This record gives sequence, structure tokens and C-alpha cells, in this order.
Amino acid sequence: MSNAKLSGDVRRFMRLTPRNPFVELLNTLGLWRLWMAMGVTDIQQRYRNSVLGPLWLASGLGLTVVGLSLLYSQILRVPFQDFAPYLAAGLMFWTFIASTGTEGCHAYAGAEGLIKSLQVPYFVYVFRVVFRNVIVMAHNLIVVAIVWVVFGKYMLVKPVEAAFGIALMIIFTTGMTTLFAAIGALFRDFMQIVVQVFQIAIFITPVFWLSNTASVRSEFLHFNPFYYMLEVARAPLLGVVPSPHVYMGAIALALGSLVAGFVAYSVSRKSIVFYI
Amino acid sequence: MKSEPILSLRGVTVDLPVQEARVRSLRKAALNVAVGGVLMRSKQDQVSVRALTQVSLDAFQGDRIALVGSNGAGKSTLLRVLAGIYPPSQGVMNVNGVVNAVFDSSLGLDMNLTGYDNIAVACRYRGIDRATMERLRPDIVEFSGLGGFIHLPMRTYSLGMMARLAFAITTSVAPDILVMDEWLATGDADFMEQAQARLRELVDQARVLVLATHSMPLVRTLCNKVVVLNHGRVAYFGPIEDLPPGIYPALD
Repeated sequence: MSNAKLSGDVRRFMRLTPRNPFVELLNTLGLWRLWMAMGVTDIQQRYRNSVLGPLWLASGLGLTVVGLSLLYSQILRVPFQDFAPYLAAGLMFWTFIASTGTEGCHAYAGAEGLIKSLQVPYFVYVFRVVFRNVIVMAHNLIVVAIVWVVFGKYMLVKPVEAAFGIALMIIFTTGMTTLFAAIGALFRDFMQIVVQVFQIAIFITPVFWLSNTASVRSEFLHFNPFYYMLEVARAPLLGVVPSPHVYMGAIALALGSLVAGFVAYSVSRKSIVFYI
Repeated sequence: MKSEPILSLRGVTVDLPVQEARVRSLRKAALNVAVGGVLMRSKQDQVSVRALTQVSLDAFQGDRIALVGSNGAGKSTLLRVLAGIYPPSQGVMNVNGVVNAVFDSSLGLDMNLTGYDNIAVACRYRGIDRATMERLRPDIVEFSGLGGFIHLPMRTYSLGMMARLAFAITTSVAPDILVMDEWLATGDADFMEQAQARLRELVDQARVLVLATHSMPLVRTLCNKVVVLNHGRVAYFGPIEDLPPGIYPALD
């Protein structure tokens, strides 16, 4: 064998699963090539041999936005050129949160073969799901960009606030997905619950309706975590800086979900391989 | 004087939870079965199979350990513990080095990618960085003997070709501790010969080998120590020549 000697680098890399979950998390961040490649492969698999490929995602969003905006702008008496961008951005972010959370319940079970034969921190399987959905979101961003250009909204965008808001939303989603992955691995029914909660949540969260509608009772907003995450990412794209209340809520939720996810990971870490 | 053990297990017990809905009937049925581990019932009425019971062993530099026992004796479970995949329910394991475990040679390969690209995928899963992978790749391609096929998607390969590639990948890095389930039976007679030679090299470079197998000739030619597992317990651990008669008749 020509290359039997391992470099120190490989040694460091191969020692992947220490007992401390915090070190596992750091190792996983160092393994970004791995989970990014897994996410890309997942998307490639999904759209293999299709002509448009992942652009089907974008076309689906585009169709929904045009169709629903035509109707809803009349129901809500909002100008079409205002409602279409609002809906496009809202749906893009909602799809990211809901799909990542739902797929997250299956993150470990779906990687059973790998988990049972590889010594890789389990965070990798969570990050793979998150990253795969970031790719989807990037495709949907094309639609949002087109809508922004068509309706001349691009000069409204507040780039710093938008980037910060989207980062918060991704952090929240990562924490939530880590939590859901742990619960979903130990209790198979959990995914069905998550699916149903997201089904109803899309209607009670301001995705299809405007959050500043006076007729909406405030508890539908203030006790809904998804409202904060959606608003903090969406409002800057529409030229509005979210209120301090929204920022406080979003930051608290993002940190809270990280802690919850980390605790769930630490607690379930040793059981997962036996339950998938 | 013996140095520090490279691999050390102290009282390692592994319980595998059984989570099927028909747990009770399953338990009744399983109680009478002679194969497998010992069925257990824990506090929450959670049925689990005790796959390993109080396993203790030390492996030192140069140890070539054969793991033998009937089906369900706990060989694969023990290998998974050594590979860091199953955390022990009780007891501790100390590993001083890098473990390379070979369970499933088709591991993680993507059928839609070419064999060439799959080498990168497999190395990524194994924590091998890109530079090292690029260094290893020519050797892997050459050993696989796939020629031009290496640049075709893997779904066009025959099973034998896949096994050749997987074998070439999994044996491309020599670890400190090599953990293997059975000899990998791959390819035609010609390839088998090359494969045996390469495995021997790998075994020679590893500081410790743990090999689960049913092939006694292999145990005799390759290993110096043997672990006999019986219903998840170590019935014997020591040099092969000191094995008392009757514990594992196949090796007497």
C-alpha cells in the first residue's frame, strides 16, 4: 500500500465522535464539506434526470404567488404589486422553516445505514437537512428576485437587516430541527404531529394575510413563534425595519431553540443508534 | 514489560431495546429461543436484548484478535462497540488510536455518481481530508482494476465491480485499530488473491486487529488471540493455543 501513513490531519479528523456533545458540535462545523456535499447530493437525487431540475421548486413558488396574489389582493383589498412580493417572501421563508422541521424528524432514521456504520457526529445529519433546505430556499430566491424587479421593490430592501433576519431564522430552524430530529428518532409518531402543526400554523401565521391587519387579535401574533421568525426575515426585504419587540422575540427564540436542540441532542445522543 | 493497552474494555454491557408494538408476545416467543442474547426487562417494561454482558478485554500492540461464536453471540455488537457506534449501556471503553471499521463495503456510495467521484464521497464519510484523498485516489483506482469504467456512473456496474471499488476504498487507509466483520468475499478468484494480499498488508500495519469470522483456517493463519463469545459473554479470551478444549470445538 502506497499511502499507509496517516497525516496528523487525518488522525484529527478520524477521531470524530468524542463523548462531549459540545466537541461534537465543533467537529461538525469543521466537517462542513461533508454535510454540504450530502445536502447537494440529496437535491441532485430528488431531481435526477429532470429537465428543469431544482428550478421546478422555483416555478412552483412562482405559480403559487401569481395565482394566489390575483385572488388575495382582491379579498384583502391590497394592491397586487404590494401583495405579490409579501406573499413570495413569506412563502419562501415558511417553506424553509416547515420543510426543514418536518424533514428533520426523519434526519436520523433516514441516515440509518450511515449511523450504524460510520463514526460521525450526529449533528452532521441534522445540518445536512438544514443545508438541503437552504439550497431549496436559494432557488426560491430567484422567484422573489424576479418579483422584486418586476414590481420595483428592489430599492426598498434593507440588506443588513435582511441578512441579520435571515440568519436568525436559519439559526432558529437549525435549533428546532436538532430538537425534532432527536424526538423524531425516539418517537416515530412525532413527525405526523409536526406535519399537522405546520399545516395549521401556515394559516394562523401571517403568510397569506397581512400582519398589520387591525382586525386580527394580537395573540395570533404574539404567542406564535413563527410570526417572529417570519417577520424578522421578511420585513427588511419589503423596506420595513422590524420593531424592537419582534427583534427581541426572534433573538430569544433563536437562542432558545439552539439550547433546546442542544439539550435534546445531549440527552438522546446515546440512545439514537438503538432506536433507528 | 507490557505497555499501555491500545484497546481496553471494562465490564461493557450493551442492551438493545426492542421497540415493536407486539413486545409482549414477542417476548414470550423469544424466551424459548436458543439463539441470541439474554432477554431482559427494564424498569419501564421496556424489553431489551442484552447483547453483551460484562465484556472485559485488553488489546496490546500487535494483537490479532479473532472474534468467534455462534450466530447471535454478540460478535457484530462487540465490533460496533469497538468502532464507537454503539455506546455501552454499562462499563467503559478506552481506545488509544484511530479505529477503522469495515462492516459494509458498499457504504455510502451514490449509484448516480461515477466510481471516481464516489471515491471522494467515501473518503469524506471517513473523515479523510481532500488533499489526502487526492493522494490516495490513484492507488484506489488502480487497485479496483475498473479501468475506463471508473468514469461511468456506479449504477452501470455489476455487483462484483462495485465490491472491487468499495474494497479498494475501505482498505486504502491503514488505521491503528482495524475492526472487520468477516473476510470481505469479493470478486473473482484473481481479485480474491490480490484482496487477500492487500488485507494482509493492512493487517500488518494495524497495531491491533479485531476480526469477527466463522472461518477457522483464517483464524489460525492470521490471529494470535481469540475471543469466544457465548450469549453475549466472553467464554474465553487469550492465546489460541491455550484455548481449553470444549469451549469452542471448531478450534480444538
